Amino acid sequence: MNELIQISISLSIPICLGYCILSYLFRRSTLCSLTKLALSYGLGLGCLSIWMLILGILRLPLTTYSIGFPLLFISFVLATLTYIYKKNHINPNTQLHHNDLFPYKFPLHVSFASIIKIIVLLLFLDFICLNLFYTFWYAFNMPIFAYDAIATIAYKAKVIWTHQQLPDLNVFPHPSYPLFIPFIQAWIGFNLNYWSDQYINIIFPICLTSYLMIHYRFLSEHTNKTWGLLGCVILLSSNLLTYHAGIAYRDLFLMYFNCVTIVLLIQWSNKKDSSYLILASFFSGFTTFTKLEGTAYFLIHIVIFLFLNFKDNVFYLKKKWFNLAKFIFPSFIICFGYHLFKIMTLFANDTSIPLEKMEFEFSLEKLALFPTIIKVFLINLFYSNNWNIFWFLFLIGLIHLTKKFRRLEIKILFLSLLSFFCLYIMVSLFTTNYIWIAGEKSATGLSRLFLHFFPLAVLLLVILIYPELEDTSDVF
Amino acid sequence: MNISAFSLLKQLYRESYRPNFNTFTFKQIGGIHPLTIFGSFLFKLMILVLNVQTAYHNLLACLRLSFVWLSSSKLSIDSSCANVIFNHLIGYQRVTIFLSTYLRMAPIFYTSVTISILGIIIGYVTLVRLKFITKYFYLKNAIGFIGIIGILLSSVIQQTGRMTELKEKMNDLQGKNETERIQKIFNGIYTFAKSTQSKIKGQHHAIFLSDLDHTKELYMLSFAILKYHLYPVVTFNIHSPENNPDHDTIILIKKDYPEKYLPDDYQIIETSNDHQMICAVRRNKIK
Repeated sequence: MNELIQISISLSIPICLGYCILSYLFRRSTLCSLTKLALSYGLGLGCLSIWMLILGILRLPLTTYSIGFPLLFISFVLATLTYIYKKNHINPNTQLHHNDLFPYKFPLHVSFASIIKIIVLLLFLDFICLNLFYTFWYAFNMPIFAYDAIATIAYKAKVIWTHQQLPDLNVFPHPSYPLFIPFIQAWIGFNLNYWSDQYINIIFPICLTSYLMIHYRFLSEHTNKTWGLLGCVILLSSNLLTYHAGIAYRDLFLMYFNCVTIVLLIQWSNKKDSSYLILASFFSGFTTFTKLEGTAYFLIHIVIFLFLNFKDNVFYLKKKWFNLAKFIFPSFIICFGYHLFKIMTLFANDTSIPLEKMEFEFSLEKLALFPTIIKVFLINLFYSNNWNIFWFLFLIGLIHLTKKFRRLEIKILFLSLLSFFCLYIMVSLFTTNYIWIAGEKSATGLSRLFLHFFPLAVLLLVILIYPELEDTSDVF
Repeated sequence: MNISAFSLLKQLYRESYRPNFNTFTFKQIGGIHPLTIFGSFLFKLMILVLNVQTAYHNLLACLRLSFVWLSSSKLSIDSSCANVIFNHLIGYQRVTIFLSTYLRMAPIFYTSVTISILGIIIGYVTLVRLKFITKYFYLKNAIGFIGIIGILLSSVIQQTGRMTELKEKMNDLQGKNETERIQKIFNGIYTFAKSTQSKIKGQHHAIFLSDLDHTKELYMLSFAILKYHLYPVVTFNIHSPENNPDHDTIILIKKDYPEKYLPDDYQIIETSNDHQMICAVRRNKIK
């Protein structure tokens, strides 16, 4: 029981910080409470890890108080500022709706159609709850057992927790890897006052739940609530995703940050609210601090942003440049800051340790590997046990693409997916990482790479196959 | 009643997807009351269940076709197609999920292709040739709808596997504390690490020697588990476990003639039950 309270405290501090930042960012506009809560988790943990990095760089001790108190202070300041702003600018549109947290309204008249729909919704909810229970049970009861978690991620966290300081990076295995997950796990360790191989897993199922909320809200905005739930069911039907919610790998968080960034960019483009853009920028930055692949995804995020920013004439040129600054500045500082620190630390100590896992290898002969790469991709998507029959369904869904391609969200989701696939084709063609993507080690590596953008494919599919009938109004 | 499954399905389609019936929201627009259709649907479903033999034969024919298709693709198969499909869907094995067993998965692929092609043909005949396409119900939507039903059914079957696995894990771990749980997962190697940790005091730098192939999983996993569970009492040179100029501890795992690697001033302080893991510490460092 005592542990549960300590874990709750360790998670509530970053969530509170995230919530206060969001409340301040969206002080002029409304954001659904469900989405706000879900985003608070990622934003809060991201800020917490960056704060721990700053303390580490400054060689200051990492303790519950040195980490927690400044974050609580910032939360308090932001909450006060938001309160003062809202008090002075009362806007009737920003009043919280009662159905924000529980968005379903039960029908006043009971008809056959509504009964069928309630049954379908209950089945969907049942499926989602069962899967979440499954992942939460795993996180709370299974000590870390997967290879990467023990060899790299949790080991780094244990080292940080033991030293109560950020040690030299070269004492870590894979010293160039970003430290987001080790920092968060060490933070939970600091709060528990002992090292638990079990409780440090708790952040993963919450991450999945948090992403599900965002996934649901995005889909219900672009289709309807029933199809939003269907999207969550399809997402959870993937074996790999539920598996990753219990094994303490970094891929789940990378997926979360990466997909949320793209979702927020689409929302920004639709709503023209720069709060979404700043938030997307933070999430894009956290992507780079979770895994090395995140830096490549950051470039894709920039391309998507540039496409959205310069595609139409909604913004004036000056505003477009402002938008560019808003997006690039926070994400670039996070990305560049960590890479600079890493280069300086590792070069200062030992130049024999490779800075990055990737080395470029240009040769025309490697182009001949293109068919092999495509074959490996197809085998992974269609043969493996990871994705259920999702990619078959995705192919079916693509027949709607030409008709619906004019819609912005479909365009962006499709282009992002294409960019991610192209990125990995290029990486396997022109770098030494071929072995991990299409070579002999692809069985363990490739699925995890696809996981980083898999939810985008689910979003695209659901929006594509959602029938745009004359009467699409919800019964609820 | 001798009625084929296909004609029955055709009738079901005719009843369920009436032109004035919005299939996707199940909302009555006009015409026949949904309860009438639901009653009719139940009746037809009852006939279908009673006529299960026909349906079973049709399913077997489909699987047989997949099997023939599979044999021509020169992939080995060790059990019947239906059995493999059943095992795949029901037997959800957590640890091997992302280590895709491609050959075992091949029948699923071919069966999916067969069923998809059959589905498209049946869909085309019923929806296009028999003019069931309406203002609301397009062919494209129908295919998507069938796909969703497919993924939902597959997920439900898969879910039973997940829940069975969860139940087994719950029974396995019930009443055990964290240490016992870790012990259950890693067996001897964890016991060895904890026992070593309890027998030495202070901080030690170790080297890790083994005859196992350095590039193989067994070596990497053994080293990772030991490194993690011995920390912070025993530390290794992460980048080169066999070299550590300041070492005062030697850990041997699956090493032939271990005595050859232990200098005279070292004392064995822990040996695993199977004598495959040995920890030796320099005498002047043992407290």
